[in-house]
Amino acid sequence: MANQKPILKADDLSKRYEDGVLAVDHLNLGIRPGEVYCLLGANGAGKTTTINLFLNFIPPTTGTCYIKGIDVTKDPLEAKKYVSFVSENVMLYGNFTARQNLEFFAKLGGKANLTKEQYYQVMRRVSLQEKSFEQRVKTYSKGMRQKLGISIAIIKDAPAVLLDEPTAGLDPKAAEEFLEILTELKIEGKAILISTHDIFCSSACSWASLSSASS
Amino acid sequence: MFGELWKRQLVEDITSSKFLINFVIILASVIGFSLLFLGHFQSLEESYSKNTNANDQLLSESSKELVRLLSAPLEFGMKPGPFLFISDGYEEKIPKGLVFRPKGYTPDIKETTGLKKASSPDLSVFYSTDLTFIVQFLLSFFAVLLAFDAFTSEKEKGTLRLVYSNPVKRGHLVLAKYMSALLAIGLPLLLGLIIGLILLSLSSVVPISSGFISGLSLFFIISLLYLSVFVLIGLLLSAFSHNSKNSLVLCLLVWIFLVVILPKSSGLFLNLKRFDVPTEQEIEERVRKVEREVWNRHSHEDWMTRSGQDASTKLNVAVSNEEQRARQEVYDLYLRKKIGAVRILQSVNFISPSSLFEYSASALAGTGLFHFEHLWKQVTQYRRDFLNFFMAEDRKDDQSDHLYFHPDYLSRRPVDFNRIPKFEEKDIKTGERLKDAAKYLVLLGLYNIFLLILVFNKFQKYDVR
Repeated sequence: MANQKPILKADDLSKRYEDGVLAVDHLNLGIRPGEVYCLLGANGAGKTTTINLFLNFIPPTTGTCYIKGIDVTKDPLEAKKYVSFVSENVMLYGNFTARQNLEFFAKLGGKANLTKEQYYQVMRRVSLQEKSFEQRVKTYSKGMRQKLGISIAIIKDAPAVLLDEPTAGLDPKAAEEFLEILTELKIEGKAILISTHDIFCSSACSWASLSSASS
Repeated sequence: MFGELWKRQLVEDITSSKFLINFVIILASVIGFSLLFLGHFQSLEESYSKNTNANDQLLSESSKELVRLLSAPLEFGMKPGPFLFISDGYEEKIPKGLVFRPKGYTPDIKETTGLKKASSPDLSVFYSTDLTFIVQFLLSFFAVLLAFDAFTSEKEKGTLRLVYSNPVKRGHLVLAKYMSALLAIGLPLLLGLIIGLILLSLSSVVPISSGFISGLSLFFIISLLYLSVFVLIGLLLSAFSHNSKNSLVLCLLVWIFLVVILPKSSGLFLNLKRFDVPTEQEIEERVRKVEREVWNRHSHEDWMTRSGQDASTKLNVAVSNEEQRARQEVYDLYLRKKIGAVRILQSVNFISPSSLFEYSASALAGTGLFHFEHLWKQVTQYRRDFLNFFMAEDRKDDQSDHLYFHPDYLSRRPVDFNRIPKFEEKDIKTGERLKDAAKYLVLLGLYNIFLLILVFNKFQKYDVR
């Protein structure tokens, strides 16, 4: 895997916001298949900004992000075919069931024609209870929603995975279950970028970088 | 991809409490209005029938002597039709009808003040309530409520980030939300119209024809065009806002401005004096003035009536006809100015989609100002036919001096009532109605296109975080 090209790559990436805050300062990174890179830092350190730059939610001030060799600002639609995303505080569509949410995002990610059982399998994998599969998401706890968010990322089966504060608000047991899933994804050969301020999360990572809030 | 976005949005919209409340209120309004309309229409028909009978009665009594036909003051109100269900074209400044007001010579046409509205006073408050009103106010409000948080709610939930972490075009989401909202507002309206139509057809009061059903279908399409404007306004303001509360406040303010303030503010300018429209009193003064001017012009001549064939009698008749023409010109000018003033005010209101919708619905239904102009044209033609008939009958009488239209020198023979031309208002053809509605529809269409472009452009730069 060390000989393989990076799936996620940042070249001299910087982002300065309109109010002058320098959130990301000349970041260079390359994450290969099977590697987990952890952006560790306090609030305001630029971790989420980095994720947002990879997803083309905001344009970089300088530098470039690549997903599978594709410049995310030049061809965002193509680049997004190869990345899954788990955001912090996932709410999803409350009036839909877990399976319906999963089905919707799977189709958006290009995974049409999956069976119900395939959706159930993914939800079992993230340790969601069977009885909750057809329950409306508005009845879910935060931990359950986070698990569902992870299953949405899994079902897309993209080579890159971006996770923004995936363990925020999770109890220790759920956090441990998450780390197990992370390890499984790593073994499957996913290139994973995590932004977190949870130092225990970094134990599953191949690489970690520590950043502080910009002045 | 677009299909998935649209399907999900549609299910969410239709299963929401907003939609349920909207659905119940719209259905109740349309059904309630349909039932009220039945009673209102019946009394309008009775009133119109009463007028027609009164005219026939007058003609019948006058038919005992031909010359008395010139003295019969016939009143012609605007004929009620089933299209009033769609739009009653309520314009308080529009004349209610026309009347022959003879001055002893030829009849002239002027606005009537004598025609009565539907007899039941309890229904008076609903005279200006029609389907157009329900769509114009109620449904447009619901359209805005459906769309105001289209983007902001997804942003607040975090689902927008999740959606756009996938290869989804921004425009697809806009289109999905737009189409879904339009369907969610159109569905209850369509159902309401169908139920309303069934209620009307079950009663024997309102005549339902294929023309009426086509008109109702067109009204539905026009309504969608109008409601689309407010869905787009909701989407646009949602794309400008970053939270749902701000978006709601903005949407409500814009709705109040476009639907309530702007159309009604033209009423501040609806002082007819500004358009040089004389009052009734001024009209009568002008009429007397032109009458005096005509007679003064001939004051040096001998126009005293003597016998039928005397030159002075003939001059008297000629001057009287000149006086009548001058009088009619004053009345015609008055009506033209009044209609012109309303048209100018309508053009001021073109900026309001609410007014555009109202005018297009009224034109489609053939009511309001359009109806009055049509009536005026027909009554003018009837006047010509009436006078031609009169002259033809008079020429058959050798005892008459045939001096048109001095009452002392015309035939006093009885005339067969059944041969007297009766005024019967013809319905406005569908093509004419559509032609009149077309300009408003084009503007509504342009409004939609403009707003759609704005929404698409704005959302391209929308911060989805």
